[in-house]
Amino acid sequence: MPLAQAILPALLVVTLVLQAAWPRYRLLIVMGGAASSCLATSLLGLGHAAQILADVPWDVLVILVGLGLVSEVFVESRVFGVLAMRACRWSGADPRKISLLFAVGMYSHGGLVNNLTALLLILPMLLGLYKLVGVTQRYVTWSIGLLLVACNLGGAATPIGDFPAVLLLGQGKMGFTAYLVRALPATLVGLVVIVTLIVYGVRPERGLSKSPVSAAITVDTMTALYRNVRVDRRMLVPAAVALGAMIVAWMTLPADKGWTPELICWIGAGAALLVRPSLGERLIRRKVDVEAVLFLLGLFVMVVAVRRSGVFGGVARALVGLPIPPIAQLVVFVIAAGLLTALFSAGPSMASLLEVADALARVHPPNAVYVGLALGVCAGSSLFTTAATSGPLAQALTERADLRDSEGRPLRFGFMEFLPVGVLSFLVIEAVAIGYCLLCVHYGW
Amino acid sequence: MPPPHRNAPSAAFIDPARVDALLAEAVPDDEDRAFVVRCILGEGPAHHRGANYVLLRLLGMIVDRLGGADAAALRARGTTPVPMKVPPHLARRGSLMAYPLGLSTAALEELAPVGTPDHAAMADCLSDGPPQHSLANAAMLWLIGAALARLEERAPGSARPSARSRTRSSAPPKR
Amino acid sequence: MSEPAVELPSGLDQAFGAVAGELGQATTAWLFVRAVARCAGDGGVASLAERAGPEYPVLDAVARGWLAGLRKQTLDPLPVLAAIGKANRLVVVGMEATPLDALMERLDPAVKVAMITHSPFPVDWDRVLDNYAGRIERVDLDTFQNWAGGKSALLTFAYGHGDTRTVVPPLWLRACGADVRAQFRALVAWNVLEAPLQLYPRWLVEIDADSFTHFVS
Repeated sequence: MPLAQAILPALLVVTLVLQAAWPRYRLLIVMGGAASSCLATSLLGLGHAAQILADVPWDVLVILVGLGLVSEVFVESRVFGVLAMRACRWSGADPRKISLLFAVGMYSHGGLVNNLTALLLILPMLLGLYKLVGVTQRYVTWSIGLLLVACNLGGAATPIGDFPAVLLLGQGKMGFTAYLVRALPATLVGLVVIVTLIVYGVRPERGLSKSPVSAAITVDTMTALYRNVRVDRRMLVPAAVALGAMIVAWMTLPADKGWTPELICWIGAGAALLVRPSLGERLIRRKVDVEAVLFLLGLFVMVVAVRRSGVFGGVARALVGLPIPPIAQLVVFVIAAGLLTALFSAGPSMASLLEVADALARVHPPNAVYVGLALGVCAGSSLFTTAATSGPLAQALTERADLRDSEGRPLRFGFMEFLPVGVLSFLVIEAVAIGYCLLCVHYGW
Repeated sequence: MPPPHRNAPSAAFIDPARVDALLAEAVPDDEDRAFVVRCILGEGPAHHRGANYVLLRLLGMIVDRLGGADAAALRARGTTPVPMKVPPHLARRGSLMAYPLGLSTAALEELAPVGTPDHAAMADCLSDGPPQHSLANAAMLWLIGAALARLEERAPGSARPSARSRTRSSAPPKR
Repeated sequence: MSEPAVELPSGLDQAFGAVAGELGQATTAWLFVRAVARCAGDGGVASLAERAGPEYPVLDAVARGWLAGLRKQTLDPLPVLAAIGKANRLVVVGMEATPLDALMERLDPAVKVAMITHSPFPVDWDRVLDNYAGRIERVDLDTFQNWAGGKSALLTFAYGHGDTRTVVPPLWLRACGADVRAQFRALVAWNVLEAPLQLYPRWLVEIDADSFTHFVS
């Protein structure tokens, strides 16, 4: 067993480091790491590949695929584009209002649909808008940074917003309502604080010329670009009804009677796709995020292997055995979750730390532990652009847009540009997470 | 590959309206005919366009001097489509992409009976290639068919051009 | 060009390039000129021509036309409909939103329409086609010959007409080669500028106007 406790965690850590260092070969590295873990467990007598695969939380993958497909139906209805255009018109193309509206919009989207889908759709529009308005490096850094953080907070706000919360729901750690009523207010507090600090403190639009010409051209152009684009209600309404029904079912139907979250998601997503069978078939064939599914599958396999080695139990015991007050253990755990996520990204951290959280939940209020963990992971996702998939995506989209300032200098959005936004957001979200945990423990929520 | 034309001939003598008039009965629709005339006289190298014009005009004169064309009678004796040459993988499935001027098969019956491999091969040869070849061939065949029909009418004792058996009987044996 | 120049915000040339592909250079030029005139008067339009004109000659032409008194874009789709004639398939090469909207309003619904989705500018083609509610299909340079035939027409937009020459999107030359010319019954150019360009036709390419079967001014 000591050999297994050295080899299997080492395999996991090496794989995570390699995939972070060479993101171009991410899937190859993770799938290779997963295969190596299976081989190691077989040779070490900890279980064959079939047993490892049987322990993979397939329910989580079903929920991710199902919600991703429902998101794609929303995209096909053109609702996001029309909303973005209206946001531009409502804001009168004022850069500060644009930042504010899009941050709030991304938070809402992030809570209901897949983060990446929302970002992939909204960011190109926003970058086009920036070209019309004419922006500076300062504005790009803080406004896109804010967008990413809002996206992460939205993802943590609901049990269906992003992978960590889905994992809690899928694994039955928390019910839908239990998570929502705790995480939503906490993330909203985080959003309000960060938006206030950035929009009214940092003021990204400082240095931008406030010309009525730019505003007029921007509003006229956006209106022209969407002159005849209409929301396809035949697509939007069934998708919204299906999602609404899923949420009601998650909140009311008893999981112990077989109404498990993944079954509800499976049926709901299927119903949304069946409304337009040809579109549904096309979305299933082309729009399932195979990359994300395979990445998570590989991670789950490695985490299951490490769990069989008993390492997670050991870490949890060490944490609980720390000579500090119990509440301090929880704080250490939440901070560790943030830092690990910043280094290894949300998927691996959440999957690994959930095992430790289970041990902590035996001595602390479970809701405090799990929501604290989700918020810690959210804070870590917001520290570096590399910590969440949305970061590199935003970087790639910004580079592709070839934004330039008034002097023709290229505007960038990379690791270093995001860092000040990341540090600020990490501190705020961690503070919210710790504050939430303290309140939970204090009031026994 | 043929050598390049060092001094491309002039095709300034081309008057599309005259060929348009010649084909008025073969292609009754004005827009269709304009397309066909453009392909014959407006596209491709000058020497093809010029040659097409000259030969069509001369054939048109022969037909005129024989009393004009009876397009309805020619059409009644059959046509085959002149296919549009698009890359095979781009052709619309289930629909033959063809030009508005078909290949009149009446004149070919002088050389080979309808339904024989030779007849089909002749039609293929005439309708193959770029449109300044294939459509010009088709247009000339209309005029040749019209001329032959008039000559048949003038032949003593010949009420109907049933010359197929006659021509085949005098043809050399097939290899 | 006697109007005094007015200071405009920088970056308008970048803004123009961001949408010129999606709305079309002439449509975008009219949109920009109207917005600038509304906010900064004719002096602003003169500045716009000075600043962004050399990079975008269509914008320069529209702005100068505006200053010369041409305050409205006159577009009549009827001669274009006549040029398309009895074609039952139409392939659009290049994008100009205002003229195309006007044409689509009048075009027989039985006519199938496709657009070659290619542009030197960044374009969200899904959004472009969403504006036509499924009426226009998307084709590319590799597949548009699927639409060839004796009842098919090609349409592009031209930007001014000199003695014998005009300018069109470079895509027209890529699409309308010697083979394609004989596969579409009508090769139609719709001129969307009143006067020929005065500057080098950046983003566009010069061509003989009589290479089209129909040149609609």
